[in-house]
Amino acid sequence: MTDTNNVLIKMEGVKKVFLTDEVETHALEEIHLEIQRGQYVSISGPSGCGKSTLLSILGLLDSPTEGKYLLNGQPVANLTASERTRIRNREIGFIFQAFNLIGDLTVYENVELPLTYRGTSSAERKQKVEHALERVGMAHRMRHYPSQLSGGQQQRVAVARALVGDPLILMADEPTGNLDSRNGATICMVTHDPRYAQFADRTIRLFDGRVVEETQEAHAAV
Amino acid sequence: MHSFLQDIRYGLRMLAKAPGITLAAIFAFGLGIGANTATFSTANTFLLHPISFPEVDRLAMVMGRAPGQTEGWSEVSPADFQEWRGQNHSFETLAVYDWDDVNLTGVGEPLKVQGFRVSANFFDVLRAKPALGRTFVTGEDEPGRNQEVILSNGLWRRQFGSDPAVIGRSIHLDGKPTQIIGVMADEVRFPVSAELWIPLALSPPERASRSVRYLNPVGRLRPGVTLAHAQAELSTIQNRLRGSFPDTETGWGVQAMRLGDFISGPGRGYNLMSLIAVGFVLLIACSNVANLLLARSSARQNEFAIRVALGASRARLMRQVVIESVLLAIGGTVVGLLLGSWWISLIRLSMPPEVARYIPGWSQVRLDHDVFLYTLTIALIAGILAGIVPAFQGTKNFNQSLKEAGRGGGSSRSRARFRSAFVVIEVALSLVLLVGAGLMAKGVETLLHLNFKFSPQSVLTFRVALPHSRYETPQQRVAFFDSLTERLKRSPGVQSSAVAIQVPFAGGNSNSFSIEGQPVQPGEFHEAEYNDIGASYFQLLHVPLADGREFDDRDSADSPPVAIVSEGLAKRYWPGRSAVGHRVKPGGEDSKERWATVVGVVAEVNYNPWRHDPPPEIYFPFRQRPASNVYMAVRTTEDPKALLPVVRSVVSSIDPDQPIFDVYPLDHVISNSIIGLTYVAVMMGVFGFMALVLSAVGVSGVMAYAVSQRTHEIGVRMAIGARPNDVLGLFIFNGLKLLLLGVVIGLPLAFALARLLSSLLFGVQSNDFTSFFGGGLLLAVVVFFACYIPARAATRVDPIIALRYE
Repeated sequence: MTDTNNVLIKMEGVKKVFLTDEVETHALEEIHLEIQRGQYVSISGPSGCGKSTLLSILGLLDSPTEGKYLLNGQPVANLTASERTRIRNREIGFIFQAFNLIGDLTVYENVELPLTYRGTSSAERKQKVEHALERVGMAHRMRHYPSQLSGGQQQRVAVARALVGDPLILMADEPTGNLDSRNGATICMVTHDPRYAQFADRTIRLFDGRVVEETQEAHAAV
Repeated sequence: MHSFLQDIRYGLRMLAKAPGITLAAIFAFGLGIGANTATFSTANTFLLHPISFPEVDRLAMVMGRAPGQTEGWSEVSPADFQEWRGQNHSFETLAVYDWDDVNLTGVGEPLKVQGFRVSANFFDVLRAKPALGRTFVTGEDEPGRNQEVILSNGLWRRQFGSDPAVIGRSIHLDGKPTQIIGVMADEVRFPVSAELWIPLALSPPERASRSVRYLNPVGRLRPGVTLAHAQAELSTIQNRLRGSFPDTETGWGVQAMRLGDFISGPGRGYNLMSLIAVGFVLLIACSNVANLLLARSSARQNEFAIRVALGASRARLMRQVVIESVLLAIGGTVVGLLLGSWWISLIRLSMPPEVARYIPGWSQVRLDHDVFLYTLTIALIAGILAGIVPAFQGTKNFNQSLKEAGRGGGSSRSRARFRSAFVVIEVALSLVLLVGAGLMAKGVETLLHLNFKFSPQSVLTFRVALPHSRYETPQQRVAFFDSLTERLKRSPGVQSSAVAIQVPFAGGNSNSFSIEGQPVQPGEFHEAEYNDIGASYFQLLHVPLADGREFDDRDSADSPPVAIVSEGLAKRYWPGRSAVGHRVKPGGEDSKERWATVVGVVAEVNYNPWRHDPPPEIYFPFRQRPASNVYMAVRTTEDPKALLPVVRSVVSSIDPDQPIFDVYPLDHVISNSIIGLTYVAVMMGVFGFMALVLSAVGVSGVMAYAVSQRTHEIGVRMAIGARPNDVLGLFIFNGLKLLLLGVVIGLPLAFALARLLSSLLFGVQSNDFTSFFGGGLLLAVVVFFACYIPARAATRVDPIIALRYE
């Protein structure tokens, strides 16, 4: 049973069609999905099944071709680019597959970036960035550049950057570590690695652009 | 050698594989090299080969230096010349020349030609050979024997149709029959504007004169004698003369200078400025190409890594990159030579012939082997310069670079820093050129503006040189010009006409003068510009009267001498009181001239555009000092050029054998007088424009490259909330940072250039805020748009790219 008042993400009949050289590619077909607040959802499936496309629509990086998408009760399927940008910045945190830290910025500046775009004051930014870095145990490396960090350290910085703005949802693309610093945020994680999928409360399996299987895990979110 | 050729072949293949970058680099090199080729071709003629004679380095001018004179030189009195020639041991011998305009009749229309009176040994000193006939022989410069003339090659071709039988033919010079004894070879152009040479026959009293200085001595140094040695010896002789003849020699000095320096003197500043400026353009072009090569070397990291794995040394890889850069420079040379050749034609065509004839070696400005060699040399240097940094950077730590791919590692950051540094250099040098162009344009505008009050565009000027043989007495000359003035005034379309020794900006006629009751120390003197004018002169030129009266019919040859002075002179010598009623006279206090009473004071008129501080002026009535070689000015309600037939007809009605010459509207005279400044201003403007284009291409290229390299980063930024304006601002901010750095470095350089310009070129103010501000603003606007276009493209990056793994 789903608690309708607690639904954070709701998709109805979402379709995504790409048109390349007059050839239509149906990346997603008839996606119906509800995700509760605080839920840890893993989206898995073989390569080319539409995981990343679903994540990009969920993360408002892209719009569906058809269907409804309600985020926090608000329809967001047909928002303008600038409205999507604003919601992404305030409600969504991203952890990318290759961490995507910006090489020319220090650890501190990387984590500070979402707050800068949000227009947060300098003092508040400082306090939040330091707090986020402390949570992932990287406060001592805040003046370092990404190239001076190990892969694991880079991932922790990427987590800090995703969490610093206190997002409602974390969108994680093939993370290579656990997300134990999520601070109660809803997690949508795309992965094809069962080791990470096992941490999730719920697993959605995609195949050929459709949801073919859903499993609810018995354990609590980590 | 084989490996070198292999590198060239491979380099050509690589360049062909990247036609965009190759063409952009060849274009940048072509602009820089072409501008250098054209500028060097003129500088080569002016500075290095202004004149061509056997062993020209041994030829020197021996000129005077007036008391207190700090710039230029003074002509020499016949007596001083005799002393210097007789007493020195540094020169094989000294010759001498004197300017002498003559009227040539008996060969078509009467014609005024630029003649020079020369001593009989003049051509022997120069070692100049005639194309036809002979040169002067000893004794032909004695009074009574001076009846021969040698024609310049140009006059012979133009006026005598290159007739080989011209030798022995008699022509009339100033009405006097004269026999042609020679035609000079075409390359003999000294003095530069010479159209014919006649003997300088001085009478014994003239030879003994010390107070009248009009001769220009030239000598050939003995083998092994340095100019410094000759100068020291001449100074010793002149010191002795000062002791022996204190009345005329006190304060006067002597200065020996190489003939080449003497001839190129006035154009030296212009050419040096142009060479410096065009050097900046080439540096900007090199920075541009270096940037392109840096971008390319980043893309070739894998290729280099494979080469190293196969055993290539770093030196070999660097050689490859430098060879490719030099190949681009050679491509640029082809474009540059074409551009330079076209540019040289344009420069030659744009120079008015009446000015070109006074410019040493102007006809020799061309793409010759010297220029070709220079072009190849600078192309090689430019190629190496542009290739050296990409060669170092592109072949450094590429294994490390491969590891750092996608992380914005040290090597790529280092290359980015170099690319930014090149942009900063371009911006700094562009600012220098733009400020320079602004200062020069302002200088020209200021000088022209000085004369707007005369409405020079409706004044026609022409010159008349009455021959001494037919106008020997002052009365004859006054009668001629009175008649000419009156008849012109009555002609249709003419408002007024006046005779004068000088018109504004025509050159100046500076002389010493004395003031009654204000004596000076020995060796000192008052200096003023003289002008002997007709009664209508001030009215014709709209020069307001400040005090007293203008000249009128009362001021005749028989009436007491009078003068009018400028406000500057009046304020300097009679501060706080009227100058009217005081008396002045030409020359020193002991001069035989009569005292002239000041009857009026007028506003300043600038006669010499090259004087930083125009000296005060004294005007005398033409009727009291009637010269034979003068200007006529005619104000008209119509186009001044349309008056020419009327003027010719009026002159002919008075004396059918009397030619007129240098017939130009006054605004033309004024613009010709500052044509050197205008030339440099235009060149600086062109260089500034080229710098701007190259900088825009450079900045835009660096930004476009940065956008392409940072596409993934942009996607990430947009994914986490950056709006298009944030991305736009990011790149524009980066561009403006480079601009600011460039301006900070360029401003002191621009200020130094401004100081240099103002010291070399009159009319240029080093502290002209408008030029600095305007140059900076123009550069900022161009850099902004050069950043904006690629930055705008960055805002279109799809944030989904952040989800793609590189």
